[in-house]
Amino acid sequence: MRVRDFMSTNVVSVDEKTSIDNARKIMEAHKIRRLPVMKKRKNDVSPVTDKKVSRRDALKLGIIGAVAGSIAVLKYPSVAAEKKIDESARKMTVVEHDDFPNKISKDYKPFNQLNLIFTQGFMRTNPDIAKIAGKYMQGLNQPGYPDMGVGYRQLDHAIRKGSESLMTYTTHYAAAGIPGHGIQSWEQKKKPKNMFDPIVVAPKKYKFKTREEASAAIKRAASLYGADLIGITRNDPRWNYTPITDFTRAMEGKNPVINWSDFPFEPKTVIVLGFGMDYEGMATAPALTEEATTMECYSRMSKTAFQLSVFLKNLGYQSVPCNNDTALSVPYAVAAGLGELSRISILINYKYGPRVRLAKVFTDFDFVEYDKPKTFGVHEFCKRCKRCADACPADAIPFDDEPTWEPTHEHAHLKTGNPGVYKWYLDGYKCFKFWSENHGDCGCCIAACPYNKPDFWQHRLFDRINAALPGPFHTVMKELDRIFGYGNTADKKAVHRFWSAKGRSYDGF
Amino acid sequence: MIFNGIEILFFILGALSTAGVIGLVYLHGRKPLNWKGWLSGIFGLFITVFTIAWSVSTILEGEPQAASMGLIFFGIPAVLLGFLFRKFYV
Repeated sequence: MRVRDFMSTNVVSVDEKTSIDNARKIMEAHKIRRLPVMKKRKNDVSPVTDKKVSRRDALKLGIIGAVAGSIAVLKYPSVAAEKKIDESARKMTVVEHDDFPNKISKDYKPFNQLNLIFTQGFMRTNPDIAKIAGKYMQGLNQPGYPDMGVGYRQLDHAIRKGSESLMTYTTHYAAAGIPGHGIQSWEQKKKPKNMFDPIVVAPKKYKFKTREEASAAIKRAASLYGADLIGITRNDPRWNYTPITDFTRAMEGKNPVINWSDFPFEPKTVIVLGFGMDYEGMATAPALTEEATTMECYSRMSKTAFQLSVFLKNLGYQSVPCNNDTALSVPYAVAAGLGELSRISILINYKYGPRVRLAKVFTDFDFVEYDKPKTFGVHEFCKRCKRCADACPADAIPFDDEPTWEPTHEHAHLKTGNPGVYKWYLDGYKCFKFWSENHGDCGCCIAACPYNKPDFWQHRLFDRINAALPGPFHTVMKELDRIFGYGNTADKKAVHRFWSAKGRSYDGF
Repeated sequence: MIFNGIEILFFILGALSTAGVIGLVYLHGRKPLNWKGWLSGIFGLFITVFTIAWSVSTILEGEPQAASMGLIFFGIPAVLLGFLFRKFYV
């Protein structure tokens, strides 16, 4: 058997000068799919097929495409889809403001720290609040804590005490608004106490080339020391306690009032530091494990603010680190672009929601780029949501649809909230009373808030959708949040989950 | 651990999305899809992938109720779109 027994004779062919159109017509006329091209120089045969792109052409196109793609990726790494989408979403949902975003009354006066609920309680200026404060401290400091059930065992008490210990020992309980103690000292030393003393204002001031460079350096240092969020704003006397009060002085028979003329320098800039709190810990609210989570942040706040103030001093600038003392943290954080004021009267941050604590560092350094306030729809969402008010075991959070210029609750006469800001006013008396009955603080409002979510993609997506949606949809989103099982409080399972070893790895493997 | 749960999830979702698109193109090659077929197919594939992403992510973050509700809220529309696609294709 030979090839000739199978081969075709009278093969239809064309030469290389034949037009493509003619070649196609020939193939159609003879009902053939391949057409040999006879070249004149060589007697080789090159097939022309009816396919639009041959395999060889496809390979060539593939290689060209891959090379072009690689060049594009190398040349424009910043135009990655992820960044583009994120930037677009941010532009749609985050608004920057030149001025403070909340309405402030013309007759607004700075907050008098003598009216702070802790000051009234621990200075015994109000006997009723003093009784609450006494009961709260009794619950906080019970050696050999009695077992009162899940979340209130010696185990839960012990982790709380461990959390707060650094703040207590280094600042004399600055969480209650006590200023200037321990590592928060207002002293601006020119000479070190000993060869290892780092807390000295350097005689030579470091000069940054630009304001942007200065801000970037301060933020990098604060981040290294442990801050999750950093914003820089101008000193604003509206938010400074006037006067400042140290109730521990009153306990020693001294005058507790400190005037701003006693402050060691004229503050020009306030660096606001935000600290994200553990999601699982906050989910245990109002159990003691929640307070452990909060207090761990207070300890971190004390450490980080102190280190940042030492950094500034070593650059040659005076500084004072602050915890809850000296000034209102929330408006400073709003001014520094860290978030929005909420129905709970605390800050809602874009990343952490209400699960954030705030520290401040006052300094006389002002060659910095100041941050602008930012809003992202929290105010509108709070109008309809009210999950915090529903969850509050003390009924201390108002259900008013709209904010008000002054407190609407029954304890407004105690002046624990400062009138003159258009916002929702928390009843500090009811809140603190529940703390004393709970043997620790609470945090239910934070745990219940729909903005309180772990750092997962689906929540970031729905936060952006929420910000873009009009008001009526917020009610639907709030109900969906509840149906989906988020924001539960007083949940014993949450305490078990907090302590459970399941899903955790502590050895790095 | 080399990869965490979310990384594995999104790798699998990427593979599933690719397989889904190839499947649609293959079906279109066997019998051309009309616009309703394409719409229900693409949208159904998207919701299916989203349902898996949501449910696995919420399990990973420790919120099993959110995972169950996700299956109901997003999974049922995904199944319905699957039926619609079948109706338009066959």
